[in-house]
Amino acid sequence: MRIIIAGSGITVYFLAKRFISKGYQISIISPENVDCDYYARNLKALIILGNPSDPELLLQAKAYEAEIFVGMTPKDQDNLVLCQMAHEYYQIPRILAVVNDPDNEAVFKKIGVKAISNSRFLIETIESMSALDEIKQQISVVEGKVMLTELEISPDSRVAGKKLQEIDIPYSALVATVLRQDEVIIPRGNTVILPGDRILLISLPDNHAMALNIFS
Amino acid sequence: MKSQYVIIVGCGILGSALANTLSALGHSIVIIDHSEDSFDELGNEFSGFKINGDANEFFVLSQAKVDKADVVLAVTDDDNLNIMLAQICQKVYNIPNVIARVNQPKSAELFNKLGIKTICPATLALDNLVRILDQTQDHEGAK
Repeated sequence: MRIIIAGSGITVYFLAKRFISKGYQISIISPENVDCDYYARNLKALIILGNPSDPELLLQAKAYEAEIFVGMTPKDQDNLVLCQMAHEYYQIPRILAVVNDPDNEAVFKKIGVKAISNSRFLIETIESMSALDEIKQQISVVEGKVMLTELEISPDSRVAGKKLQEIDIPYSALVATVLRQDEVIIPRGNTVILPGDRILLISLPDNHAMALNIFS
Repeated sequence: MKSQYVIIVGCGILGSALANTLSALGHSIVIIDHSEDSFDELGNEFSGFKINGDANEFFVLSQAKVDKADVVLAVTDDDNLNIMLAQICQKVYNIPNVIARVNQPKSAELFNKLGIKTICPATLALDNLVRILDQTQDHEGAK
């Protein structure tokens, strides 16, 4: 299966290297002379030097047999146009834009191009490191519109020993499950939250910090 | 023509001329450019707003109140940026009148097909030149 990657820099190199070792065939289109040299010397891949926006280069990269196209140049606008060209000219079945501006994930989706934001991923990782010790895991879903947080209830938490219905949880948050030892509980209003419980909290980003505070 | 809210992205030769002309005609203009110096091209007749920022950042577009715009003209020197902006304005904000300047005729053709209004300076110049040449030939033929 062939994957075409348009972009430059060391991330492209490691991505390509990993996929080659998994048995994929890789084409790389890059405008950077130095990078192409490096790729050509160190990767068993088809390396094409040039402006990725030129549809002719897609042909040289064997776009007609490609299954996946990844646009990961430094500019979001270039990635959008590249992805649309790959779709329109060569009907490559699976297309992904790697965007820098986290807002563009949702924007590109409306335009019809699947996009992921590497900066959003970093932001979330760093955020969850800097956040409370009680947070075990935190991810966002639905393009960052909903947060899922796994929290451990500490003995000095102000909600320890309280029934769920006695806790003042904002409307935009919900305790979805409680893990007590190995038992998963779907909580009701009369479920008592105990120290050591691990709860899965669903919240909206706007009230996320407030919701976390209540359980800390 | 009734006064319209027009956003112009790119304050180069074309963008600044558009801003001056449309502003003199009584339209409300917001012009966006990433370089502050480029606004020097705007003349006395320009009475609109300037936003200094990079339009590839979604935030900058929202600063320009893009959701309220009647017309968006994306005329930066970056084809792909113009194409992206045009699609955002059309598909995310449903702005009725959006035009992207696209220098590369092949891209212009592709994105026309995808429903984006583009103008391509090279194609326009070519058409004009051919017409002028035709006319000169006709003129000479008549002699």
